[in-house]
Order: sequence, then structure tokens, then C-alpha cells
Amino acid sequence: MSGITIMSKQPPGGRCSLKRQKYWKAKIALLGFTFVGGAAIADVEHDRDPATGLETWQWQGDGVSFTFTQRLPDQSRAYFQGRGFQPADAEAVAMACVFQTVIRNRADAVAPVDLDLSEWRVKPIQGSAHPPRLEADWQQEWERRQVAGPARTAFRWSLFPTRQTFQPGDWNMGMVTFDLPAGDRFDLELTWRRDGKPRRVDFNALRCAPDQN
Amino acid sequence: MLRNFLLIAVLLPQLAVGATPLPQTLTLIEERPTAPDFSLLDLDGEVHRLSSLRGRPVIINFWATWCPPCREEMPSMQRAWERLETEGVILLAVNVGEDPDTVFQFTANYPVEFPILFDRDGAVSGAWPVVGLPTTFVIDPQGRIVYRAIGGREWDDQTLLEPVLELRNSSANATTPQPPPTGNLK
Repeated sequence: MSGITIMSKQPPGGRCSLKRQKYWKAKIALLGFTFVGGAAIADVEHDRDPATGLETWQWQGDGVSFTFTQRLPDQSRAYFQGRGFQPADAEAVAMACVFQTVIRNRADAVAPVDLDLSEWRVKPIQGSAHPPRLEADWQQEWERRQVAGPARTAFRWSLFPTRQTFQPGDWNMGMVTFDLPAGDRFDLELTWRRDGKPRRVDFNALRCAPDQN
Repeated sequence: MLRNFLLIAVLLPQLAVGATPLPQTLTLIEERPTAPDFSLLDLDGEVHRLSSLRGRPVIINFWATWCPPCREEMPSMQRAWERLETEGVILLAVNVGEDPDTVFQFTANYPVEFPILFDRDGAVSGAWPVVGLPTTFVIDPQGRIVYRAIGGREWDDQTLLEPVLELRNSSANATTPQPPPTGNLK
């Protein structure tokens, strides 16, 4: 922005011919577009890791970023069995469409971000929309299955918190379970509040990692 | 020539905005609640009681070995400790829910010299306002929570350490901490 000001104050040469005015107008317009483009809201980006085949979806704008990376069911089986879950219990999580999720409120953001996963909506191709399966739901399941205390503690800290406030510069990483079969596609309606004001972005055609077992 | 120079001069800062790392932040806790006291064992079996550390700033980091950002920030935390140890600041890392064997193996790859404490049943982390890992708090010499950072940081960054070091000057009659130089604080 300041660069544009500098240029408008110092036109090239001493005479502002019509041709030169057009030249600068075009350059200023181009630079203005670049500036806006650098700070503007972007589309959802989609990548596939060539080594693992795992897919990632990311959106950033409004000073916040959301990143969802598939977790293979095998990854989750190994992870939870390594933290004290019996194979049958680990299987229940592994087959619940787990994504590694990173959410960041940028350090240059102007206000906190409030997140409530219970307000998100998972929209499968078939079936009704529902929120992600939340940590409290899982803990009821673990109580019913009599999962050991240390395993439940590990689970509690491994899942992305259901509700969290991010001040500028804060971020978190954790698992989100979308409660769909392996390999299924779905849309995600993701909401948050910036300084109390509701915001929303739609992720289309996300895909649960396939079960390669 | 001049035009091209000006064009580059204009474009460079825009390109740099995308490339420059953002400043790191600590969030000021205006209410300054009293930090919940705890008494926990470290890797050597020694007891650490928070309330016995009054008079010095204390950094308390809640973490776990399986948490990627926790692992990532450990080396910078060690570098910060090498600076803080002689400056009258205490650094404690509270491991959540794991056993000493697991953490001992972890320290083979991530050697640290500051005390690692064990909150095996999660009772301490449950009493603190910890929602996700890692979360780090800064306690003032009066035993109150003054700053919080959610998510990993590069802890040897001067912009993070300076406000912690300044707490040494806060007296028992409750000098109001000043916001650190970066971040949008509430």
C-alpha cells in the first residue's frame, strides 16, 4: 500500500503524458490486485502427499487457518494400542474417519477465535448431517467398555478439544473424528467466531482415508 | 531504470510479508488468577512444590511425548533454560499422563536439563486451565498466572523471554505486568 503511495507521488519523468498516466494506472491496478490477493480469502487447497498418498485440505483467511490431514485407520490402530487401548477399542476409533487437524489464529490477527466443534456439520453423500463425534461421546463409550484410566487420559489429550479459544498466535493440533466409514466422501460446514462474530467456510468433497488393512 | 527499481521496491515488501515468520505471542491474563498449587515428582524422584517457588517467575509447560508440537518446542525450551537458569527464572515441564520410562526414553532424543514433572493421573492438568497440549503458563513472583501460550513456540525468542524476565522486577505489592512487545493481548 505504501509502495503505491510512493509511486503516485513520484511519476516517472517530469511530464505526465496520457500514455504515461495509463501506464501507471495499469501498474497501480496490478499492484493493488497483488496486495489484495496476498491478504485476501483463498479457496480450499487440496494436496496429496506423494510418499504416503494421504490427502490434506487447508483453508486460510480472516487471520485463521484450518488444516485437515487424513489418518489411515492403521495409523490410529497403532497409535491407540500404543497408549493402552485393547485392539477392539482402538478399532472403534480407527474406523471413525480420523483427521489430524491443525487450527491456528495468526499472530497478526486482531481478535480471538472461538471454536465449538459441536456446531460443525458433517454432510455425507448419503445420510443426514451431523456434528463430528466429540470427545464426551467417546468417553461415554470408553466408560461402557471399561477402558483403563491412562488410556482414557491419552485419548482426552489426543482429540482436538471440543471448545477452545485461540488468542492471536495460539494454535493447536489434534484428531477430529467425523464418524463415517473409511473411504467415504463428505462435505464439512465449518464455523467459528472471530471476536464474537460468526464465520463459516465449507470444505467440499473431503474423503476419509481408506482402510488398507 | 528508475521505474523498474520503484516497481521492485514496491513488490519486495509484499513478497516478504508472505515469507517472514510471524511474531510470537504471549497472551496476557488480565485477571491474574492464583496458580493452582501442586506437588509433583520429577524424573529423579524429587518433589517440586509450586508454592515453594514464590519470589521468582516460573514457566510451566504442560506436554506429552506423543504430541508433535510439544516435541518440536523442546529444543528451544532447553535453549531458553540455558539463558534463564542464571537469571532467576524457573522452568518446569509437566508431563501429562505418561510414565517415567516413556519420558526417560524420550529424553534420549530430546535431552533437557530443566525438571520434568509427572502428572500421571491428570489431576494437576485438570485443575489448571489447560485445554490442549502444549499449553504454557508464566507465573509471576506472587504466584499468579500472568501469561499463557497455547500451541508450540520457539521459546528462546527474545520477544517471549523479555516479558518473563521483566517479572523479576515486580514486587510483592503487585506491579501490573506490561504487555509483551508482540501479539494482540487480552
